[in-house]
Amino acid sequence: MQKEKISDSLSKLEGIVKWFNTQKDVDVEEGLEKVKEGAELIKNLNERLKKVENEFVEIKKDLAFEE
Amino acid sequence: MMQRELFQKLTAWRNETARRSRVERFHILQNKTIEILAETMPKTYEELADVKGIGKKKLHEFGSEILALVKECAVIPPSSSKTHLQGGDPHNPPSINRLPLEDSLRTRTGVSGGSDLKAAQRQLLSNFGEEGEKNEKVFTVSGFLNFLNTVLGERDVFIRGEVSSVQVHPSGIYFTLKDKIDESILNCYIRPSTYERMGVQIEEGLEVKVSGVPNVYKPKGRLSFLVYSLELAGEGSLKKAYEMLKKKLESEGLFERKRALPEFITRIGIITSRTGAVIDDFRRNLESLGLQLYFYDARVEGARAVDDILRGIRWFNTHMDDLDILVIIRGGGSLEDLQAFNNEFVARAIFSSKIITLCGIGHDRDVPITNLVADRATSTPSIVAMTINESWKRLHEGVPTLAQDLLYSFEAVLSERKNYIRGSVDQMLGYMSQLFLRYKYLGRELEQALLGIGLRLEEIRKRSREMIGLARAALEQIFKEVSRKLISYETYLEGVSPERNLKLGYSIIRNVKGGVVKSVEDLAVGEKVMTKLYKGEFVSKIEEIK
Repeated sequence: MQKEKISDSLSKLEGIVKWFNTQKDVDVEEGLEKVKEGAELIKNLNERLKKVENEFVEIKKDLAFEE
Repeated sequence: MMQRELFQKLTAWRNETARRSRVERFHILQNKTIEILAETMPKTYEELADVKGIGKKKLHEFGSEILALVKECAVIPPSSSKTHLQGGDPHNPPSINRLPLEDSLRTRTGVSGGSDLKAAQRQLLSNFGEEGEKNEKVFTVSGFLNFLNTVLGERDVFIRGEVSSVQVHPSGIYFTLKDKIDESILNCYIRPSTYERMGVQIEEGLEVKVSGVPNVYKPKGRLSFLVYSLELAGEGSLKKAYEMLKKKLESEGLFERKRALPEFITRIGIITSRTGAVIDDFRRNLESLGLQLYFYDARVEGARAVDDILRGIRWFNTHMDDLDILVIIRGGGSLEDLQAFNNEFVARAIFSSKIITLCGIGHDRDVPITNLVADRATSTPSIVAMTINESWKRLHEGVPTLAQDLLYSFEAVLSERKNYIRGSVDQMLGYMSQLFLRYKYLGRELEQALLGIGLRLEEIRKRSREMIGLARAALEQIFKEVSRKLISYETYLEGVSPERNLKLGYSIIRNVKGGVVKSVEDLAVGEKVMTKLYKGEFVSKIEEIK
């Protein structure tokens, strides 16, 4: 997941939680849809949090400075 | 057809010259120019000047060396060149400045390690001089100076001394280095391009350490030291230079601009030394988040540090300017050790970097200038790694918190709905209970009403019974009265009854019409009449009226 997507997903998730907090009278059906959407976002974000080895690349200077 | 050997020698010479001059290879000769030289094999300055890519400056600077290489290839028999090729990889020649002179000569002349040193020297000499009478080597002045500069320039040397007599000229920086003990002096020269990369302002009285090669300036025949790198030396000089640069850059506002580090830092450029524990510490402290680390090996101390760091910054900004951050790290050290990080050019390069910079230079007292200029700085490379980890905090901490909040929010909604439903049910039960009570009340009311009706009916019934009783009594009275009257009537009637009179001997005479004959006037002679007696009747005919 690209970092822009992570940020978007987190913002969407925050938006959903905020939606619940600001609604005076939550429609249960609509709320359920929001929870489903939130659960999907959480699932994807948790995927990104899984341990993934870092990639290490050394810049080859001979190639880097070839004219 | 291209002369393969010449191509290899020219390439090796170009690469080595670039290395020694601290410039990129194409600044010395481009690959295409080398190919043309290997094809055309110019033998004179005029022929060389016709080669595309060889301008006046290159002709003056490198002409003699290029022609010497062409000549060398033209004179070395195939067997010798074969020997040379077996001696090493022509694309990656051994580092000459680390070799003793004889090895350098062998390398330069193409004589293998097992050959006689004298043969190597002869070979070198033959490249610059000509065979004269009595087998003497006769140089031209220029050829001898070329020979001399070649031999002197084979190895970089380091010299420490105090700067004096500084002259800044468009053609270069001229100064003398003075020995602190016996005050002997050495003329030094720095090319403008080299000086521009040093990032050190040369001033009289500064203690410096320079690296470079001795060189005889041919037009004047004067020995000077061609400086490739210059570092400040001595605590006083370093501290003074540090304070001056800090004040200068601060007044220009270079310490004020701070770009925010991005979130979720993933693509990271790293400039530090391959050797030492810093890069390992840095990597070990990074969390395994699938980060992409692009490492540029640079010296972080010594004469080449400034150049290496500058190249690294430039390389990342040229080739990977979409990186999230550029990290420049090294462990702690003295002011002298860290002077590359107190260098003006390095500081300005960091300030100019399109990529957000994060510096982690270990230090004790004086914060390195690079740390002050960088968008973010920490005191150790490990903290740089932690800062990168921190950029993922919103994801690490945010997801569980938001997941919990979402769950709680929806639970609250459901709970609210449950309470609402429960309340509604209670309310309905309340209504029903009220309704029930109402019905019960109404039932009672009805019961009371019915009871009233019953009582009333009973009363009516009673009354009726009374009325009936009264009526009956009245009727009975009436009956009695009537009976009594009837009895009296009966008695009367009995007294006046014809039957009684008949019984007494009276009779009743009726005409034929049934009428009672009360007078003889009603009778006529011959008329028949019926006489009723007490017992029986008889018909008789009137015979006479009297």
